[in-house]
Amino acid sequence: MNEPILTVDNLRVEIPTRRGVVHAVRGVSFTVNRGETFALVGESGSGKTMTCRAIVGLIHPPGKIAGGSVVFQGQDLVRLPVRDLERVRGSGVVMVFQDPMTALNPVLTVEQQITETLSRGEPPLFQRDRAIELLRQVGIPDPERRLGSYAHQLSGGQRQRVMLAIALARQPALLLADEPTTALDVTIQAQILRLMLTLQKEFGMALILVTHDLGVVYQSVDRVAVMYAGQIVELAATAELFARPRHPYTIGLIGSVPSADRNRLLTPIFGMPPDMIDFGRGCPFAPRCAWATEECVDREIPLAAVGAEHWSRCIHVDRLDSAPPRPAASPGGVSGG
Amino acid sequence: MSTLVQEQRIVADTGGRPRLHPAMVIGGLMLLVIVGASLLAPVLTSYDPDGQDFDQILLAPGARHLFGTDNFGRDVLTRVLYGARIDLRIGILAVVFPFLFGSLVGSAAGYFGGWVDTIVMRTVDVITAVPFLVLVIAIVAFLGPGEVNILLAIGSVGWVTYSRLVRGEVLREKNLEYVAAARALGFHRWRILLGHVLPNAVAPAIIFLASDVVLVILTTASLGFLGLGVRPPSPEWGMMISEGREFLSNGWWVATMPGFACMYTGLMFILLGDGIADLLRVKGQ
Amino acid sequence: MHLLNYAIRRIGQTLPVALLVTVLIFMLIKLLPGDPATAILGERASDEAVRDLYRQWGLDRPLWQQYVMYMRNLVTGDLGQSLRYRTPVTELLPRRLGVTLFLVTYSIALSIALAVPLAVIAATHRDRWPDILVRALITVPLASPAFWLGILFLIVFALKLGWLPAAGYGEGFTDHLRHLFLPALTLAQAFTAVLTRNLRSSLIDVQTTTYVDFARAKGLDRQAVLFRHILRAALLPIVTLIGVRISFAIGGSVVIETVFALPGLGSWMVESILSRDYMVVQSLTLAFAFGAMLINLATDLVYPLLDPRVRVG
Repeated sequence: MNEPILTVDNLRVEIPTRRGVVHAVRGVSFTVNRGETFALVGESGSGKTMTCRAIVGLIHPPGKIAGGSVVFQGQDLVRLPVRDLERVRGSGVVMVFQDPMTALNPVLTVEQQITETLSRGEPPLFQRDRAIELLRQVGIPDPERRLGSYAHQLSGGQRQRVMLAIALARQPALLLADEPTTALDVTIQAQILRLMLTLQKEFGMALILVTHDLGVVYQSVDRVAVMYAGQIVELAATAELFARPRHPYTIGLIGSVPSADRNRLLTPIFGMPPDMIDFGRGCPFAPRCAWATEECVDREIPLAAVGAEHWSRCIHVDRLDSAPPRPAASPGGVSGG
Repeated sequence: MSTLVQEQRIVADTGGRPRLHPAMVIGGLMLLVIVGASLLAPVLTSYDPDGQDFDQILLAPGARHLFGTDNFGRDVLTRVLYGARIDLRIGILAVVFPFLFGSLVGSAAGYFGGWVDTIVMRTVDVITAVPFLVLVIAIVAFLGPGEVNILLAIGSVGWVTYSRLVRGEVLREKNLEYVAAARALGFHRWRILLGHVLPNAVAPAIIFLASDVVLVILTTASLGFLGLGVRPPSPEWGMMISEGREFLSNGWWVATMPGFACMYTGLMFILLGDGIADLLRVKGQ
Repeated sequence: MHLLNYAIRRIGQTLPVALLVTVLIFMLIKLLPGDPATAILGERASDEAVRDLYRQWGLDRPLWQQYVMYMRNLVTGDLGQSLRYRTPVTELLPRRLGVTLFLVTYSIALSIALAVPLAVIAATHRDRWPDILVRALITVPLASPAFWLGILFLIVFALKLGWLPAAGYGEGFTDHLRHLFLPALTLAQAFTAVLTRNLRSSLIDVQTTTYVDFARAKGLDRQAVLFRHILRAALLPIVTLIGVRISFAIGGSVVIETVFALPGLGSWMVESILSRDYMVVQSLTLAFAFGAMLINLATDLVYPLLDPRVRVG
């Protein structure tokens, strides 16, 4: 179970804009094991989507991978020529996107979009049967009829299922799911999530789930990486993360999740995410952090082990159990640069 | 769901204040050059545009005749410069009136709706159903050639695009809040239309002006080319090209030079149009 | 079923406009200064000829009656007599129509053949020199008179190089293709410019859509992505654009036919104007209008067949 199939090492993604270079991903490293469920958590702009796109090599120009490696099944995908990368996609690693309405081609039928990924060697009739089988596996009722449908004729949940069917057509070893439930109705979300986990077990796939929903993480994920401002700020097994969060940002995230305990106030995280072009020095979270000190903005802070299989990018881990020096509900903190 | 603080968007920044578009600058310069040259033609060249000199027929472009001479010995450059007056004049006049009329009519149609709208739009549909050049040619065919008739023909057909554009904008604008507010304050409908809605709705029509001028100049040249335009011996560009057709093998410059003038003017207005469009778009934000 | 309803509705919308167009064109003759009979028949027309014309068209009757007579003639297929050729218009029409149709179709085909590769080059090298070159190149036909460009082509390819004939229609299909190449190319330029610009935009938009991303993410190779996804979506506007621009193509054909001395409808119209053959002018204007409307209708009806999203309503 602990056999790594994906090792991301010091991945950096840069996007040149008129105002300057946006450092969307700044030195991200993590490993995903075979069959594991891994989550990338963070708010919009934290770099989690960009990380996934970098893994499959789908960063739109002028953005580009500026450094690091992505080793998948023994090959560094970053250094692979396009033809070879195309072969790895689909059969090795696949990505599904947030909004299934825009992810499906509006002028092609469901069948066409499933079968176009199947190997050309198979005769069309077999391909059709495979498509029907896949649709059945993702829980689409009456799959024969659905084959001829177009994206706009399906409901949101059905589109998401179709997208999964397409993605799993060649039984990849790794599935990247970028906020797979965000665009759906609340009632459908749970269904789709359950479907994904079931399929994952059936196919023996590893799953990287990108989400900002901690509730989902808590229920279904093995290990979590919390991202902020293009970096991983904490990385641990799920249970461990929720039991002993070792980074102020993680603490803030957990604290802002509504819980069944009605007596606990929601504590938001004050402040704004940093400017991705000009970060200033040191910890990017410092301006919003209740525990921040001068030391935090003095130098770059590396990811350090704070327990068994638990890393954090905070230098004040030992102080986090006690109350913060400033009340958490007040804005402020220390800024650097 | 965790409460998230504001979304950060990585947006390409345009830099703030509206800059003077290079297209506008170049177009403007080109305009100055050609207007200046055409107005100063008597000063710039000593040749008479109608001056025939049978010793000098069909001379290739050279030092004394930069664009050569035609089959009557007339200097082509001079004729092109005098011709600029005609084509530019028709170009401007034949768009100004359609712009004004079309915008007014279109805005009334959009604003008042009902039978006003129906009549206007049916008329627009009918006129649009006939290909532009065909209808203009037909009208000129029946009215007769001459500058006034050309203006009438183009003008009576050309207003329809403006009215469509403005009507569209007005339909959009009239549902905005400031209109309701003005009505609530008791402003008379015409006042709201002319004073408030129309100025806001007219932007796409202004943008279209520039490409319309190009269209009109090309139409005028086409009419001239077909022999339906301004009467000879006027040095209108289209007519010059038509006259030059006779001697393409031994006097190609007679037909080609006026065409370059057309192209120059066309490019000029396209650039100006791009500049105006950019300007209006930035302001609108 | 939806498609049929849509078709019926569209045709229904076109009919009243078609009717009003006949009114408009009928009124054109009234623009003639002075007495219509003299204008049409000439100063030296015999009294008898004038009287005949008056009777035929009801020129002494009220306007609405004249229109009814006009419509009656139209419906029975009588488009008038060509004074010049002394033959009914309907006899001369088919051959001329054939030439013009050939020309216009040829030019649209050339436009598409030129615009697609140009747009692909421009879109895939966005903002680099191939793109800038293409964009600069297509501004030329938009700014210049088509007939002048035609003359330039004539000078270079027909006169100086002698590769292609300078005028006329030729005999036989392949000969037609040769003779019509330069005219069709000339006529094609404006549409090519508009089409290239539009397709380039369309391609750029499609390239960054999520479904193209997903197509690549699921392992399709570049070629498949380009042809099955990108081009298919981006080429859809071609049909609509044809409908929108056909009017300009028809207008342009009038001039181009004159430049290259092609025996089509357009050159016939110009000849008729110059020889005061007014009946023909009126009838041809009507023919052009109906032709444009028909093509427009056709593109409107074809589009839903290509784009499933439009079929629902």
